Amino acid sequence: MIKQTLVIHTKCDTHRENKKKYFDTRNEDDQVKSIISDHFLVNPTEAQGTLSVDTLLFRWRVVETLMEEGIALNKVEALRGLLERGGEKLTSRKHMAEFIPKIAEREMQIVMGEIKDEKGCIIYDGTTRLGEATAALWRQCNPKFVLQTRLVAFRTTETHMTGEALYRLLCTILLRDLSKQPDEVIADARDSCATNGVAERLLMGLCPALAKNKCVSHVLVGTGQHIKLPKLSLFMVTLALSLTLAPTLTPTPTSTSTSTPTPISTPTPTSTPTPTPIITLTLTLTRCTSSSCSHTRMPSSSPSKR
Amino acid sequence: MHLIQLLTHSHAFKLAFKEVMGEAMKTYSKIRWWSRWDLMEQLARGFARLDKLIAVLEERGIGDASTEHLREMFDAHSRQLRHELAMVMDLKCFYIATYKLEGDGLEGLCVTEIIEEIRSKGRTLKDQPSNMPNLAAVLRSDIVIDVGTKIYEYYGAPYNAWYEGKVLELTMEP
Repeated sequence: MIKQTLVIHTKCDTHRENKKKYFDTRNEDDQVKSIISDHFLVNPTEAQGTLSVDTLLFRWRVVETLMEEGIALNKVEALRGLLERGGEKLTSRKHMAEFIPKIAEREMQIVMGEIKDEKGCIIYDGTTRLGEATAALWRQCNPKFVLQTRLVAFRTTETHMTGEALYRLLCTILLRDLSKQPDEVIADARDSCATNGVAERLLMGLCPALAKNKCVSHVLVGTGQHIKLPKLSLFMVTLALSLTLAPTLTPTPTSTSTSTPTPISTPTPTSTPTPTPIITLTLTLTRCTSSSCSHTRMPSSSPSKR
Repeated sequence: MHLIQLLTHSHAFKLAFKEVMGEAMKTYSKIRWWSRWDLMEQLARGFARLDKLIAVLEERGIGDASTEHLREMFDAHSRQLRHELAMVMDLKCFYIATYKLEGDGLEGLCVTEIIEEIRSKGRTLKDQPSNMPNLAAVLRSDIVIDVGTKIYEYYGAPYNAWYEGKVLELTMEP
């Protein structure tokens, strides 16, 4: 009876999946352990070098999990009591942080394995602040037809980068860090920022098969920012000012005429039966094309710019 | 717009807003797409209660002199504000398209279709008031149709042209 139960259990899918998962984790653990051992063989004087590999593996996993979930590493002090219930000891934030470069290096090796000999697209963008951060992503379709996007570089620079500097950075990432052949980079994607445009044009000289892509959503957002709403913008700024104590910055209304505020109408289709529907329709058109409401012409002109 | 960011962090204002408008004010972020638009749309939906909101701000002394300016501005330009807010609601197609095309999948395949939809709206903007229903309704409510009101109307075949004219007679259709 017991034997039969075991036979049934070992044949079920859950058991097979769990078994595979167990061996995968074991394999991964062994890899990490060997990385840790190799590192401390070369650097025997480094802190934590005298500890057992299992303890170090646990600390590695804790740091890795926190980083993956975007939890600040100093939270480890608060979680220490809970995490140490498993039996392995943790250490201070400073010593835990020493695992970060090692984890980053291993992640990079995994990414390198995934993107080796694959054709793909490089996506890049940066912040517009003085101290700039630039990120580069690699996107590819793997042999199983799954789209994969991987962060391949995140660099911070002291000053704002020019187009040429960005191009040089991309060359370094693609040719040196990722060991890509120029013809393997078959596309790039960017937003409408001029710096990215310069880098793209230069990149076209390097990569002969480069297909250019511009982020459509960014273009649409840009269109929205160019729609002029003079009174509404002023009203919103005044609304904000009413909560800050900066009366000197308060914009003064230009007109002094008053009118009673009326509630905004709900959308009504033009086919709504009214006593004189045709006249009503034409009146609306007349108003739309008058100079007092010039904004209505904007949507027709905006898409044509693209 | 940094100021709006400040605004959304004021506790007293948040309380007043929720009390009057019946919903919490959306937070403003300068990096989130269409964040300003979100706020504007909220103002548009609660336009009828905007007057009361300013009254509450005045009553509770939130904002001092600036609230007075807000009141002056609202009284002087509420009509144009209403038009602009109606337009904000009508131009939501840009907002929707942005978020439709955002993502890591195969959105690229629908780009042409979605952009063409917006362009066709732009091309036919003058022909149909239904392209801007909110703005059309708001503008229409401002006009009193009477004998002598000027009109601009399209006549189909065989004329196929726009004609200017004026209302000569008002009749009730059955």
